[in-house]
Amino acid sequence: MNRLEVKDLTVTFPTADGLVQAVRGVSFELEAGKTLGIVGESGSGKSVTMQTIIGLTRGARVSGQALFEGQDLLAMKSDDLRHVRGAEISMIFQDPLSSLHPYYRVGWQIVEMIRAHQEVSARAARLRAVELLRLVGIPQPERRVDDFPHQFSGGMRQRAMIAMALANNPKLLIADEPTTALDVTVQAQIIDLMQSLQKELGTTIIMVTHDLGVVADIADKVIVMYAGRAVEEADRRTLFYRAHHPYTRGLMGSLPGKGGTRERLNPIAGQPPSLIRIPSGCPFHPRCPFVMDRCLREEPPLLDVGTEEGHQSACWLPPDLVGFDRQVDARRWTAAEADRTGRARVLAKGRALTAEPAS
Amino acid sequence: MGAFLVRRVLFGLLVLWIISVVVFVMFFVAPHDPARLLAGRQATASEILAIRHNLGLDRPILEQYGSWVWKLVHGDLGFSYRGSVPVRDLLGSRIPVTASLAFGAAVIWLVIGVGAGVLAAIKPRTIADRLVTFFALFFYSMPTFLLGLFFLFFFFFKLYTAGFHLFPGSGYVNLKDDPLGWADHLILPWFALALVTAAVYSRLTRGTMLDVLGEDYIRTARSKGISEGRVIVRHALRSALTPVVTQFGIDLGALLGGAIVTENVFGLPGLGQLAVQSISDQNLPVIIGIVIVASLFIVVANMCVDLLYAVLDPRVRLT
Ligand SMILES: Nc1ncnc2c1ncn2[C@@H]1O[C@H](COP(=O)(O)OP(=O)(O)OP(=O)(O)O)[C@@H](O)[C@H]1O
Ligand code: SF4
Ligand SMILES: [Mg+2]
Repeated sequence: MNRLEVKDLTVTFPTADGLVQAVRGVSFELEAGKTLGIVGESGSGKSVTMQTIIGLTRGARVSGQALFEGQDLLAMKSDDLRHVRGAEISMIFQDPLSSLHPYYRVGWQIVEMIRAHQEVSARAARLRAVELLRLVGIPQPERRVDDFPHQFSGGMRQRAMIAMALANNPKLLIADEPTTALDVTVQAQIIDLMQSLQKELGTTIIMVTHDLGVVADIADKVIVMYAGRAVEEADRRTLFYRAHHPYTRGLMGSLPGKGGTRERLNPIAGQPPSLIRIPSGCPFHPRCPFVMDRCLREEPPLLDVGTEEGHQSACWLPPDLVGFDRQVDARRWTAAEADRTGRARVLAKGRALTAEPAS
Repeated sequence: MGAFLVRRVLFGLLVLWIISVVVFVMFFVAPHDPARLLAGRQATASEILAIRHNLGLDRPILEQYGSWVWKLVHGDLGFSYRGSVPVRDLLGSRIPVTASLAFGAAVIWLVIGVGAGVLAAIKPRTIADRLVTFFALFFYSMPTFLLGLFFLFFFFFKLYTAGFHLFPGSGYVNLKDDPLGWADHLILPWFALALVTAAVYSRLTRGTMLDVLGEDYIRTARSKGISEGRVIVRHALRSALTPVVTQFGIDLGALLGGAIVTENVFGLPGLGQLAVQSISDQNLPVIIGIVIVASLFIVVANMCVDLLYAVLDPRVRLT
């Protein structure tokens, strides 16, 4: 059975400016013991998706299902969900500097997590807290357990957050950009730590990240999100070598006319769309070098593409157009060209002009 | 923590010393002839001479200051002109009244102010929030003496004429002698004094609570699966209390000022009433005594607030 199965998750926030459609029909499955990577630009709905699953989004309209071992988390009473949260599913957040309570000792905060879900004495919980700190590589844990968060460095605080998240041996660990706020060497250490803990404990992990290196290191499967939707989904290798969606390629810095490393998510020309007024048709069309007429009118559904099992993409380009090489670029270009009838408007988008194929 | 304590106490002593100098200069050096001031209007020349000698005004200033402070720290504040009672005894009989009033009012203002603020913050833009805002504005725009008069009119006069002797219109009984009577005499003054500030505190608490509730560590707390009540009290309120405590330290002076007004409205025989009386009598030793007691109270109370602050925020302790 899948550990987690999200079906058609939709989250909207009513605000003074209008409805913010943060998540628009996201579905995915995750097997026990595997790692799912979720990537996408800022504002694509990654955090909202994760926080909604464990009932942390407030003031939102939510629909869809999130089946955790067959039980729909979104339909649970808040008290029942509370017993799952922190015990069976736990979460690590982006900014370890602000995610721990500044007024309580690190040990106290871990003990609180333990005692929220287990009937153990304060003493036993404290011993366990020390043990957890040791597990995540805090030196002299017997002493540091009584430190306040501000006595810890950023990396140590994230380690402490991980220790807290693992306190009740969760089945699913959701890490929302756990390394973004840390410097590079520390990032690598934290990812190593999570990898080795996963091997040891067999935890299922969802890793939200901006860092394609992280995805390349640990994800079994990757979902690319754009404007509240999953626009491409594939196993790690397929995503890196045989991507289909122009947005995915943009993230990897290999859009025509652009160089770039494959390490970090590359900035793509143009802005992510407003989630109150999402562009018609394919939401990526204002920034897409391959935009075709059809893209302006109809939103592409997430369909099987390429040859790999489970590779899906939401793009009107021909489904066999996967991969990075220039030939594919040329074919993509022709495919887009062929569809183009009202070309003036489209070509005026600038990006399209720079995307001339190098014949 | 130890070093912090020592530093804070030393600072308090420094402030007290400065106050003693200011009071001394104000009452004994600056007046053209303190003896005449002290003797009152109808004093004869020989009386003034005697007073001058008694006060040691014919001695060098530093010596005068030294002996004044010496007496002060031994609790010798001289005698009141009215009935020649030692000022110390006079103050001693008044302090419990003012302390009861101020302490009770402070408790009520904190409980109501913080409670209403928290309520409004956890249910923003609901009826509860709007009600809190409405009452806060209402009491905020209501001076203490006016509120006191309203209370007297409705809860004393109206009830009394209707045959209910629920609240007395004035007076005070000792806590030791009759705890219920004590509370009964103080309940109207307490609320008259507390509600105005409670209104301010409900706004302050609501604002800081809303800020804190948006913090990342509150999201972390919720992700732990602890009850929402625990998230609000142990995690959010704990942080929101720090600015409230800071504000409370600032407002202690206002508390004393409010107590003076309230005592006079409700006929409570406390320091405030004594202060007003002594000023109109030009009863200088008593006025000096009250100034000293009031300063002492504010300095000590501020010290307590700072210590409380250090207990609340571990980052203060370590610096
Ligand atoms: N409580 C809320 N009310 C209104 N809009 C919200 C709320 N929470 C999130 N949003 C909006 O939902 C969108 C998605 O936000 P989300 O935090 O999921 O993005 P993200 O993909 O995690 O981005 P980042 O990489 O910056 O973390 C954003 O446009 C954000 O402004
Ligand atoms: S559907 Fe069209 S606009 Fe959208 S990504 Fe594909 S080619 Fe670009
Ligand atoms: Mg996010």
